Amino acid sequence: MADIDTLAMDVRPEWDEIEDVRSRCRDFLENLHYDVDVLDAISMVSSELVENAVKYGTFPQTPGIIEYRLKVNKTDITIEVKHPVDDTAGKHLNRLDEIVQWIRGYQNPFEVYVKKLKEVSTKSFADDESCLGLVRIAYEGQSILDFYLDRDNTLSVSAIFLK
Amino acid sequence: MGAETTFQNKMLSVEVTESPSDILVQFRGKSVDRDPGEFLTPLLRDTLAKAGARRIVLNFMDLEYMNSSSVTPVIILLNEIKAGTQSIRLVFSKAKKWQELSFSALKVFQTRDGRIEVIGQ
Repeated sequence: MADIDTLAMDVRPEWDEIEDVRSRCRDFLENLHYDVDVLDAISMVSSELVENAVKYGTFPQTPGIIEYRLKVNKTDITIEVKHPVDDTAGKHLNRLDEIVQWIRGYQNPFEVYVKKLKEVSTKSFADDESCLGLVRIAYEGQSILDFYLDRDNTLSVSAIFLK
Repeated sequence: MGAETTFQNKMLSVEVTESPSDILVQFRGKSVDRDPGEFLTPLLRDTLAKAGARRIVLNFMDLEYMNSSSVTPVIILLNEIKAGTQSIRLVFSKAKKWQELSFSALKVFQTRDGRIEVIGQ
């Protein structure tokens, strides 16, 4: 195994593309001989991050692109998803910041997940802003979330899975 | 074994089997829709309405994957049942770590009287 192995994909911002990301991520890690639990965790994290990119990204150019990068290092596996946003993304960015900070406030991701489940269980079915996916990345995906917005209004959301 | 009906939504298959004591809802495949509630909510609500005093059993053991949006209709259902008098059992696979993590967290909805159970097999 090299010091770093990378899977890079430019993904069209279409819902049907997400399953391909999951599948290719799994194949990549399987070829590196990771066990099924790691495959399940990382493919779920990848899927949830790309789902958010499709939902909340803005793509002024056609075709738009979501950049997906998976890097396998000696100590961790990092997934990074980048996509453009515009000035209408303020609410989403605030929510993202809120959730990431909230997750970081807890030592045990299980507690965060249970709190979020209870909160979501009382909402309406139409509520699209549950942010359960991000909490799932932290708990079930055992990953540390981070994000930044660059000057070109490109949002980068990353998840680091410590091996 | 009673009447059996299979509902298909893209990569997700849901088989509903009725018996005098239970309604078994078996999930297979993957739930990856953007709005899985469109398919799952009416199905789960209909099952709840038909069940009456019978126990509902949601079996996820053969489910390969579900996105977080798919969890929402299930936990809303659990909350509705918690507020009522009906019974439900969720069954997940302990052999699949993702299911162990995801579904064991749902034990927070279990009731002391056993009306709501979340069981790993």
